[in-house]
Amino acid sequence: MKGPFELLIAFAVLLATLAAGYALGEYWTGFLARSVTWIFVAISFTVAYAYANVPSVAQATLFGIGAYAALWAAEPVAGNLLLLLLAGSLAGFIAALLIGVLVMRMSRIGASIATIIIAVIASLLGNATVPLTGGADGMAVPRVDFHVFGLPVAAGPNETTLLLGVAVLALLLGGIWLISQTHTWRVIRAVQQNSMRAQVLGYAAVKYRLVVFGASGAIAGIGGSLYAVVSQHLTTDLLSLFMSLKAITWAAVGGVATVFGGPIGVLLVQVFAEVLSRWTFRTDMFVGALLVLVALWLPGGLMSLLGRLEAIGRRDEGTLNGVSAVGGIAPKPKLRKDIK
Amino acid sequence: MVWQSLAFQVVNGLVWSMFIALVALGLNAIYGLLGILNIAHGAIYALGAILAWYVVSLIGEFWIAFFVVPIVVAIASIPLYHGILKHTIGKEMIVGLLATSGLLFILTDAQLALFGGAPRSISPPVGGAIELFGLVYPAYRFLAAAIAAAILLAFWAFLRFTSMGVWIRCVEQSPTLARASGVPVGKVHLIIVALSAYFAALAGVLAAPMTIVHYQMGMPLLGSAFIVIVVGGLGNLGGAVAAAAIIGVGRGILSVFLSPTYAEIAAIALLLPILILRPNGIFGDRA
Repeated sequence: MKGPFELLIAFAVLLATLAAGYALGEYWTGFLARSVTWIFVAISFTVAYAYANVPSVAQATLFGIGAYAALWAAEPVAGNLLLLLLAGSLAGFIAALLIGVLVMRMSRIGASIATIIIAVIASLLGNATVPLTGGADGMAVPRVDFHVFGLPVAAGPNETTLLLGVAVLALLLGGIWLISQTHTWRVIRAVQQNSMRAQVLGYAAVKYRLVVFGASGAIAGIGGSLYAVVSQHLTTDLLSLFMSLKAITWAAVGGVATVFGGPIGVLLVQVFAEVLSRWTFRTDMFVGALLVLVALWLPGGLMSLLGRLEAIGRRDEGTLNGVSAVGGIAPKPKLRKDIK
Repeated sequence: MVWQSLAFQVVNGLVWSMFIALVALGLNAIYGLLGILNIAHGAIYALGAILAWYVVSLIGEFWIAFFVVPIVVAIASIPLYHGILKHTIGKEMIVGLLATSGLLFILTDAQLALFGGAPRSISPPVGGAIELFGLVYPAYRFLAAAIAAAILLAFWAFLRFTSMGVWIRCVEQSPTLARASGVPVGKVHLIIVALSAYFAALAGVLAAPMTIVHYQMGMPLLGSAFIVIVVGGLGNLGGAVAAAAIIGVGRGILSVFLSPTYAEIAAIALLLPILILRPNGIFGDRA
């Protein structure tokens, strides 16, 4: 993970989201509160893809499992939000571990297809178990008095839940950045880059990948439980393959090389679709076109632009000293008189 | 009575497995040669069924749709290859996934815009039923499955006995060596994309009189097709056909004892342990 610059950008985006939510009125507050919960699933995909080496197409399924866990736990924990988040993250973590056991030995492409299968099964199962999930019509989250640290929290798409979502997300991103400074993280990177080499060096590569994939499930689960509080109504669409594909596209638009791309990807795509929906019903068509354009011209996502700017900056710096950033001698700058 | 029901479901499973295999064939070929997981493949299957509905509604002749629609869809896939798919070959897996997801969104939304969200149906072009060992089964289903099986066999012969088939197999094994040997790799890629679109659309046309025509009808089949190619072994065409038969018949047998949804879940879930024992599929090592 690169320096704190990306973290600062992500924090700036979150602050801007919060400010926009408060300034633009009730509708946009609710819209942004929902969008913030989607950021968790985008980040969870990036963690699974970039750090556990599992291109999972079932991250929305884990998000949905977290959401339903929160729905079922709402009454037993009497609306305690910390316990709800714990229930969601635990459900996501356990589900991800179970999936991880299955896919760890597979090739990347095999793992990807296996997760597609799991997303299909989860979607079918969700629709078949109507008393538990409400099926396609959905199920309402029980009306309990939600609270955190003794303070009451009004459920629904409002300023309080937007603030809650942004706060939890900021803690998560900060936590990930702190972990990225540790020795354990370096081992995770080593395993991700070459698991065979890491294994030979004595690290239990599969175990590391499994735990990281489990963590990606926990992140999706936290997002799911927040979504349950914001939305107050869950349907099995959350578990669908289509939803997981959306999660991938959010992550890819932001940039899958870094978890800090998630907030930008989700907000850009969602705001783009929302603004478009004022003029046309065909928002999916335009979002699809946006995805194709990103795939063709910006495959590293928006965050890769930062890397390019950094490289340009380094090159300019190197050129000033007469030495290029990659170590060679920089070409002599052209003089104005040479350019005809 | 249970045996009769069981026999019916086995035959039904075999019939459906031919369509799944036809869809999986294109999916597998695109992955095997271009290295792309084509998420939009199910939407092409739906497109075939929708265009067939239009042809039958306007002209009233199913067999015109059978011959024309897959060719039209295959031709339409050529600009998609040149404009999008070609530029994702050899890149990170996520790039192909993103591009084909974008295509899925575009195609599905376009189908919704043109066709609407209401499900439609097409009458089978061949009426009546065939009695086989005391089992009465719709004649069209037999015919459609036989056509699908013949197409699969023809594709196998095409791969085995034609120079283009040899080129395709060469590119699958090593694109670099194939290019060095003078094989037009770009042309092979284009033909595979067009063929896979043809197969998916043909499966859609054939399945249309047997199911409900809907703009989202491709998604459940896409799931089954992915299962088939991972269980059969990625890039292994014969394995995909065998896996399609296993899953189709398994689902049929289970549906005698369980509700259709649970039968589908159980049929898929039963295949998951196979993936733990053989992560590259039943026939994966030979791929």
